[in-house]
Amino acid sequence: MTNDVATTVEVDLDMIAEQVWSAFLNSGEDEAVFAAEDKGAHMDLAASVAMVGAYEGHLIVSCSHKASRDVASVLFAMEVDEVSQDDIGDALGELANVLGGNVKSVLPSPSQLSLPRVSATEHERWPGTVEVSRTVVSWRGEPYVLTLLSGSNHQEVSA
Amino acid sequence: MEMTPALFAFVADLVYREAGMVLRPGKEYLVESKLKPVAKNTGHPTVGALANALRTGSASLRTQVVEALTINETSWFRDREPYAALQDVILPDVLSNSTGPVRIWSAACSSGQEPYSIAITLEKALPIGRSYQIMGSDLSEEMLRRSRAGRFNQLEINRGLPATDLVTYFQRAGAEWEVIPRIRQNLSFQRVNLCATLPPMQKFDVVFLRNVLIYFEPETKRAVLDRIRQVLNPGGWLLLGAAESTVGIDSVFERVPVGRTAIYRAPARERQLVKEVTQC
Amino acid sequence: MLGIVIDDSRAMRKILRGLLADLGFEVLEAGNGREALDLLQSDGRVPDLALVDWNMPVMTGLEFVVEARKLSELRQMTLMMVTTESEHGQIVRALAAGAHEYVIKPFTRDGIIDKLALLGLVPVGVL
Repeated sequence: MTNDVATTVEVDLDMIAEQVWSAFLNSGEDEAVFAAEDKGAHMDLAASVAMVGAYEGHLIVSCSHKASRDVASVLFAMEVDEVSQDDIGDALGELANVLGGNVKSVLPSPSQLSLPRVSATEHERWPGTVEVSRTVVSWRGEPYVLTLLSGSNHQEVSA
Repeated sequence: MEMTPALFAFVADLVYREAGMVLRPGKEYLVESKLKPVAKNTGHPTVGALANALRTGSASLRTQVVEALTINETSWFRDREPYAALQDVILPDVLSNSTGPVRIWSAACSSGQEPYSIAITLEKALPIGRSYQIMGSDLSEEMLRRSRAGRFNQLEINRGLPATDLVTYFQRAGAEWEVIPRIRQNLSFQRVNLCATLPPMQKFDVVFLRNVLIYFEPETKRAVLDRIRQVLNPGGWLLLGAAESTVGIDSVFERVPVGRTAIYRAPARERQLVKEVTQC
Repeated sequence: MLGIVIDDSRAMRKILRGLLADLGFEVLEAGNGREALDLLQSDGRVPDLALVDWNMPVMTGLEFVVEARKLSELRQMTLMMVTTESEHGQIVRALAAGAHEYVIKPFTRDGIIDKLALLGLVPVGVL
């Protein structure tokens, strides 16, 4: 199913990302750069939330293992080498949740936000969806790719 | 390049000349943090390099630096008590003494939280049939642009705006929130430099001049208060910041204690205007 | 002062717990609405403040607010949503269900403190 509404919606992912980073992640010297160059680097992990309702789609944030540890280390206020896999899943999931909720608020409503899901990108497939918007945040030298997909395909992990 | 004492002194002097704001030694960290984004945007590797470039730089660079240093982060209904005083003491007085629109000036309104907080207070407190006009002014064109737009992001909205006010007086505008047009039509914005002769303006019932005087030297404070008094209606009201007072600077305003704060009142009948002698 | 932070993210609970602790609160934690109701029943004390996320497994924050409002013993507890749900209609729903205040994620420390001052839970002008 195509979603004609979605493709006409302007979503300022950069503005939303900027607020999330400035509130939760930026600290001192490590200011993030928004709308950074998309170098197509390999992403290890993807955290996503689904939107179901007037808008059908997904908001995905993907990044490297190192980047995911940075996020967990700041959110949990712990050293990078102290964070567990659980901490990483929790922190990345919350990042996707906060980004997703703010993205949902500018899309056709009412829609419901799913709980976040975090997994290795090699296990993620998004058939039947269209990319509506995409941007890259560069923070502490690592790219974070934010993607908004449109499409009602409810397909899950295809490992 | 290091931010040397000489460079800091140069920046402080610039800010004093352009905005009348005193930046004493010891505020280096403030200059550093506020100018960092400007340095980045204008292609200077460090704040020190930016400060150095100011010596020969363009007027636009100087304006950007002055604006970055004079902008204050503001909350909604900042300190709360001035808004309680407005509702409980000032408005009943103004309403009983006049019949026209209630006129309020929000001087140095920054990104607009203060004038819109005043507007929300009036929306709730004014009796049916009474209208209001609010003028917001600032030195910074960027702040005026933002104030006029009446748009605020989630982080700004969270700063003390009651949720019931958010859903009543704001609507979504993309990723931001926008003050509803019914309120915005009562506000106007213009650039005013408090340190120079004021442009011609219709008199006001109330002036909010909060957290502005603290940046000025005593003579400048006196001159600013004198100009404000000339645009206040007889018996008009002045609200200052929590740390500010007219006491010891201007003997004409009457100090009126309200709750844990104080507000100030111009004489009921206009005094003869004193020729303005102090410039800053 | 006693506060309870209800959020399914441990990271978010840690951030909010730290913030409340700095303001002098003792802090309880729960990972969803059901867990919070159970904890409050077994603990027996009535928190002055509950910070409530919306999207959580088992029982959402909105459901928690509805349930908490039904319990007369929790009447004194101030309910503040802290959630990424930020449509106009969602905020209206939460307020109608009985939430007293609403903070949109992402938030800053100052934002939370401003709202707590608004609710009379911390003095105005805290830094």
